[in-house]
Amino acid sequence: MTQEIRADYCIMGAGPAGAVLAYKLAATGKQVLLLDQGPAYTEAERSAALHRGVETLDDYADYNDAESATTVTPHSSTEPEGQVVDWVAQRLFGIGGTALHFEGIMGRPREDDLMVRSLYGFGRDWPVGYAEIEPWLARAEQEVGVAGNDDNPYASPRSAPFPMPGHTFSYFDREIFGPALASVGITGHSCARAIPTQPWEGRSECLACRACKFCPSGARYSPDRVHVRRIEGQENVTILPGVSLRRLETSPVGDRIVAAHAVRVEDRTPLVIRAEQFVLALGGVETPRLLMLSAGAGDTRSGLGNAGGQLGRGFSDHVHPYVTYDLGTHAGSRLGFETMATDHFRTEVDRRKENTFWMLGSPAMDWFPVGIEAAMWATRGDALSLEALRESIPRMATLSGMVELEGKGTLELDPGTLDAYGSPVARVSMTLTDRDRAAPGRMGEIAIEIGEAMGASDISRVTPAETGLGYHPSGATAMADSPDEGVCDRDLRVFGVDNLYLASSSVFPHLPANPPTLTIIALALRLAAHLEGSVGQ
Amino acid sequence: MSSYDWKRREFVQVLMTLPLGYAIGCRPEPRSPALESLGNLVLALGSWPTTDRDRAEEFVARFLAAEHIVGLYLPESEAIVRRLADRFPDGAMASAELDLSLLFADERELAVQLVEQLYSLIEVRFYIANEPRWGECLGERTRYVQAPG
Repeated sequence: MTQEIRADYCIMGAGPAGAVLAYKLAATGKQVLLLDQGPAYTEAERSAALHRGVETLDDYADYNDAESATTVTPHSSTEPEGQVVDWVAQRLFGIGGTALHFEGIMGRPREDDLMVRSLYGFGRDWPVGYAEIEPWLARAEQEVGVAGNDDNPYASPRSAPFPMPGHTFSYFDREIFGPALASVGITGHSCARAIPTQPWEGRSECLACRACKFCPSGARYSPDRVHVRRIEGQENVTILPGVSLRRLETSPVGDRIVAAHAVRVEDRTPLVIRAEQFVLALGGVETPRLLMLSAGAGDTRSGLGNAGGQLGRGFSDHVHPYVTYDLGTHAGSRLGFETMATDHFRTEVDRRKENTFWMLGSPAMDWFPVGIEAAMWATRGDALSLEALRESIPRMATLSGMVELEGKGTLELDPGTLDAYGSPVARVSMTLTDRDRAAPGRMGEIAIEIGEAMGASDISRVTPAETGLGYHPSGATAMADSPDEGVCDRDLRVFGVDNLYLASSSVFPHLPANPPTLTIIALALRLAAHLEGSVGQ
Repeated sequence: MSSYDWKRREFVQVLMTLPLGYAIGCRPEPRSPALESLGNLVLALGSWPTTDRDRAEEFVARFLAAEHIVGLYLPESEAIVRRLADRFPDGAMASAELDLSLLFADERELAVQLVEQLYSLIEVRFYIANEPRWGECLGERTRYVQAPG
């Protein structure tokens, strides 16, 4: 039997965008429904996942190891240009979303990142400028408790200081990495994180557990531990984990959503959700997919918001190259995350020709499985010196990058691959342009210079050379000034559908080289302000 | 997340080709001769000195029981493991060097892959670097800023 649920605001997806939206809209006193396809992970389950990793020596143990990839986190399929983009490995469905296991890096876009088409002739401009977005970035930093220092000479202006001081530079950053950067003309600066350096609104300061994916101390921002926890139990809020959206139903003329159709993952019981306003906050893959799965008649026959044929176009992500070093000297201990980064290559490049990238370095003792490089470097002729290998482990360090892409990918439905409910999964086709392919190589050249400056005795190749996608899907439902350029307007309302909004990295017209989470949350806060008062007027 | 997931994929590929997989993935009681040999190999190639045998044995028990390593069933690997283990003296731990020229090609491949696997594990690397265990909250946050000593 179909269950019907009514709400004023229906927020679909409980990642950082959905959680922040629900929290803000709950304060209006209206009925808020927050749902997610994945489960609500308890603290006990979080702890159990960490312990399972230790017990089974699985350094990649994660929250959703026991979940079905087809039922809870549907695969996307792609294999363009010989590369497989394995979205399942990085995405997490559940209350908290992928931010359950993120690293808390809170980078900001630069002013020119939002105007790449008009300034540099590639990608797409954002319809809103930095001056409009920046105050929301500042508010987002407050919402999630960002620790950072105002020491980044490459950053665009800020309207407010960081909520709290950044993490003290590690020994490695202070004595090895920072000086090496400086010697080649690069400034290393604080790496802003949603990991408090002091108690923050009920959260602990970082306790250096070095298992940030699970954050035993509760310091790192996680939507389920912060915004969802604040609204749990409120009379006007309903939180439903384990609900899989199947499609949105529009009015006969297609200008309003009249219902969201879903099923409970546990027993496949159908649900119908009726609300005044609907917000899709399903991330960079599932948000466009659901608009496609909701195709109806007339202008919506190829998906909601697709009158201009833009749905699924402009898909982007980051490339994540890295390099491993044997420094020849002890790299020092880790806090569990990097304290220094550099935005140097976000400004000091010719953006008409080159993609920008962001970099950070660290001792390799945490998660980088450096055994392969260590064994290779400890082998001389036919002798593998295990003694030398052991001595090298504390000396090893890594340099990681996050490279911007032009955004030429597409996302469409794959009728040949169905999820557990019989719906086509998303098929992502990345098309890397010449400039996309060149950027990791450029980082590799810099890595050699930095390695030499650090006194490294061995440097690995850049790994991977051209791929490594899958963390930050974006762009397939871009915000724009018209349906000919995107899928939603500058207020994130889907073109042609009065009561459907998007809160996701999928609305980014262009994905800059910084991690997207802070911008996602900033846009969610801005949307909440827009939606407040939109019901019952 | 950082770029480690890509490495994860590479790493898993290595595990999938490791001809020990079938042996690691099951949990016989008592240990089969192959598992016994594999445990001895881990001790010989690993990082624990004889003075830390209890800790090493505890690691080996978990290593052998780790069910996340799902490999291919390759019956011939049992013989390789046993041959390779026999090349080390009884009770060998933390060997200093592996002379690859003395090994048959299959033994050499297995030994190198096992070394790469072992020294990629966080627990092993933290042990070598004298780091507190992964996930153990330190409370004091000055350790990472201090010069190693």
